[in-house]
Amino acid sequence: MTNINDLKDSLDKTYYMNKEVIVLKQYEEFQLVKIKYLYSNFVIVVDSSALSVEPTTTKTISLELIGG
Amino acid sequence: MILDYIDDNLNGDSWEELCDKCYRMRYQDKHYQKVPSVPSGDCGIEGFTKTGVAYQCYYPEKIYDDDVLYEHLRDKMTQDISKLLNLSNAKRLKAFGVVDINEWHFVIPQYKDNRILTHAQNKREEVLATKKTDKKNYDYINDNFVIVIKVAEDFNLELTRIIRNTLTDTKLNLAIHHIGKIDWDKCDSIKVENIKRKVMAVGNFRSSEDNDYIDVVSIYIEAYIKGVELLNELRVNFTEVYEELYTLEQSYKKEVSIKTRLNTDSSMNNKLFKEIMSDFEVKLQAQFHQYLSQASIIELKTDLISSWLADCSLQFRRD
Repeated sequence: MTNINDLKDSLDKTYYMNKEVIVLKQYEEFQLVKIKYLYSNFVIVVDSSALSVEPTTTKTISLELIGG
Repeated sequence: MILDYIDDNLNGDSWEELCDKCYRMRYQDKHYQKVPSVPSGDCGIEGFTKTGVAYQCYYPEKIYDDDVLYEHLRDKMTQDISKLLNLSNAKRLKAFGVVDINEWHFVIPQYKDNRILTHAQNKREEVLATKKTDKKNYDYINDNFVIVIKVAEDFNLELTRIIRNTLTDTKLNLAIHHIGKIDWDKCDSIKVENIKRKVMAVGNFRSSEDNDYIDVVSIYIEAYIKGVELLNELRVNFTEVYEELYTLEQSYKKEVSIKTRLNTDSSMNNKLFKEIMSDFEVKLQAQFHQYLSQASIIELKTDLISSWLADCSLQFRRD
C-alpha cells in the first residue's frame, strides 16, 4: 500500500494505473489524494493506495464494455 | 446517471485472446477451430465453426473519436473481406476445413457510428456478387452469407465466466473516471448529515467552513452515489460478483459497527478509521485480486466506506 507521506515531495513519478499523474492535494487523515493526469486536464480524487511509483501493466476490460 | 469507467488496458493481442476464449466457450459443441496466423496470415478469419460461423476481431490501437474509429473499423473490415475473397486464401480456407460460411462476425469492443452497419451490408453484397462470378471457387461461402458486427457486450456471459474463473490474465475494471450529472436525490439529507458529522469526527478540522472539510464531505457523498450505481450495475449484470461482494461487505460492516461503537475515545477516531480502511482493503484484495484490477478494489473500498459513513455502520463520536 502506498504511504501517503511518501507521495509528498517524492522525486519519483507517480502513476494511477498506467497513467502518470501529478499529486495536487492530499487529505492525509482520509488517505485521499487529488490527482491530475499528466497529459490531460482531468482531475480525480482517489485513495492513496491506488497510486504507485510504476505504471501498472495489468490488462483490464471495463464493466462498461461488458455490459455495465 | 452515467458512470464513465477508466479506459480499458487491452491491445490487439489480448483482445484476440479473449475473443478466442469466448468463441471456444460458445461454440465448443459446433467444433470451433482457431486459425493461427502463421504461416502466411489468417485468410480473413480468426476462427470458424463447422456450422458456418467465422469471425475476425479487431481492437483499436488508440482511443479515437467516433469518426476516426469508424474509419479504422471500416478499413479493417474491407481489408479482411478482401482476404476472405482472395482466391489463394480460398484454397487455404477449404484446406483448413472451412465450409459454407453463412455468418462472418466482425468482433470489436464497441461502436458508436451506424455507418459501420451500412458498410457491413455493402460488403455482404460484394461477397455475394463475387460468389456469383465464380461459384465453384467460392463454394465455401453460403448463398445466405451475412456480416454481423459483434461487440464485447454480446459476450457478456462468456467474458464474465472467463474473467471470474481467471481463464485469462485480463481483469475486470470497475474504476470510475467520473460520473455524469449527480442525482442528489439518491443521497437523502439524513445520509448527507451522517457523512458530515462523521467526517468532522474523524478529521482534524477547525470548523465546518474549513475548505478541506467541505472537499472531503463532497468526495464521500459523490463516492456514496457512485457506489449505489456501481453495485446496481454489478447486481444486474454480474450477479455472482455482486453476491460475493455483498456477503463480504455485510459481514465486515457488522464488524466495523461493533469496533466503532466500542470506541469511546474520540482522539482515536482517525486511527481507528485508518485501520478500518486498511483492513477492509486487505479483505477485498484477498477475495477479488485474481479478477478485479487494483484500481477496482480501491474504487469499491472508497465507495463502500462512504456508504458506511452515510448509514449507521460507522459510529464515530465527537467530544
